[in-house]
Amino acid sequence: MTVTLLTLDARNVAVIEKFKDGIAAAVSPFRGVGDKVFGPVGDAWTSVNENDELEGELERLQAEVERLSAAQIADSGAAEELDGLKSQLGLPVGDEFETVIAEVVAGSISNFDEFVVEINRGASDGIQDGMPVVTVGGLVGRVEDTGQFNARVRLITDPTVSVTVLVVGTEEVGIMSGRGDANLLEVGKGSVRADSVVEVGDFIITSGSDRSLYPAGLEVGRVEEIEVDQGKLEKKLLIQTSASLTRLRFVTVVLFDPDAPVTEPEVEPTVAAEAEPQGEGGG
Amino acid sequence: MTIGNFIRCAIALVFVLVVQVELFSELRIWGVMPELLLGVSIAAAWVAGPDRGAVVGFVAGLLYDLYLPTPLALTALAYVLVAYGVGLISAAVAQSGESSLRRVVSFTAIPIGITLFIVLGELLGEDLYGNGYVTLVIVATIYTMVLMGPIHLLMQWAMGANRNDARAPSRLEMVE
Repeated sequence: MTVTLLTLDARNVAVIEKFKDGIAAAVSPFRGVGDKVFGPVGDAWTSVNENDELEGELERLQAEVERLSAAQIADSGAAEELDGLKSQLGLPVGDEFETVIAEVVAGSISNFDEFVVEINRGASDGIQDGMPVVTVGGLVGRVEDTGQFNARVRLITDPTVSVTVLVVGTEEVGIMSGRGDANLLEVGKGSVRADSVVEVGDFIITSGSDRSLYPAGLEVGRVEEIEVDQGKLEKKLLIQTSASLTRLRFVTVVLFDPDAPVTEPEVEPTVAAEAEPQGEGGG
Repeated sequence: MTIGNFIRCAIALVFVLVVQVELFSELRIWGVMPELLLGVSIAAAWVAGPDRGAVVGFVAGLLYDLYLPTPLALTALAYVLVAYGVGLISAAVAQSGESSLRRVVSFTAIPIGITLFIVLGELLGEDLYGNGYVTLVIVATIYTMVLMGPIHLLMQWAMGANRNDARAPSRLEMVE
């Protein structure tokens, strides 16, 4: 029976999805009760382990930093540059996409996948697999394994996730991936030339090429450190995410369909194709 | 299995699932949480023998699979195999040295179950093996073992009476 289920799940048979949705819906009330009962215990544990008395202050400061980062990126002329880039590529602006606000109801519930969170919105709200997920600070991940009333979000800190990004103020485009760290990403593997003008502090946004899985202009982070490999004549950029991914409470799902037809670009895009995320099991 | 046992098993499994997902996913030690549903499968096999233990292992794994991004029934497959193996051992050793042996069997079955899950996942193309494998297995095994006492009591209640009364005759017993 297990082999049969594995086979059916691998083939994405509809009845399996309905079965999963049905069981999840049946267990959901018990999980709700469990969350109410055990939530304080989890918070107490967190407070013991992570000095929780500063949590409220930290969150407030993080929100402020995120707000200021967003303001700074606008002040630095990035928005105008982004508009120019979008018009060149024939892409819609980010504001044109509808969004759905969702609550993060669970973090990772496994020992084997720490880069996943669960949200309380699903297909019934128009959410589909692959849609980008953001906070006010910027990009946090992508939707995967969408259920009727919930979905999982794979965070961009997962080493198997890749995003094509643009260094604001330059024409440097590279493939960014997670490092397994809480809030650090990297752009490497031949993406950025050694003689490029990228500097510490530069902002990183999604490039939104015609084959990109993300719309253009989503803030990702800023360059924290640059390592130059003279042998390979390339730079590796360490990126500090602008959104805090460690304590997600509410997120916004951008109803962006990467497969939707877009206007043909007027100029040839100069970016490499964005790599598909690897190892994203169907659950 | 009577209807009463069936209902008690369902209650026990949902309870442990909720505790695993809502409580112990937060109560991590060095980033590792206990594998309570694997513990349930082991305890059920010890209490009720290989066949009924395997059934409980299958359901427990399948419930957990619903919330994991790994393929559906991957956990169930690992738990079924572990539960059946533990059930065979429990039937073979009968009543000799039961208490200490139960600890040894559980202590051994937990890392085997975790490793089996990883191996099966890798065979199916999942990227489950990582640098933290040793830490994960050691911490998860000890963490789960600490909680095996209550889990055994819970499954004895769920499966009915004590283990000797509740356990179905195993193949080994029938051979003897």
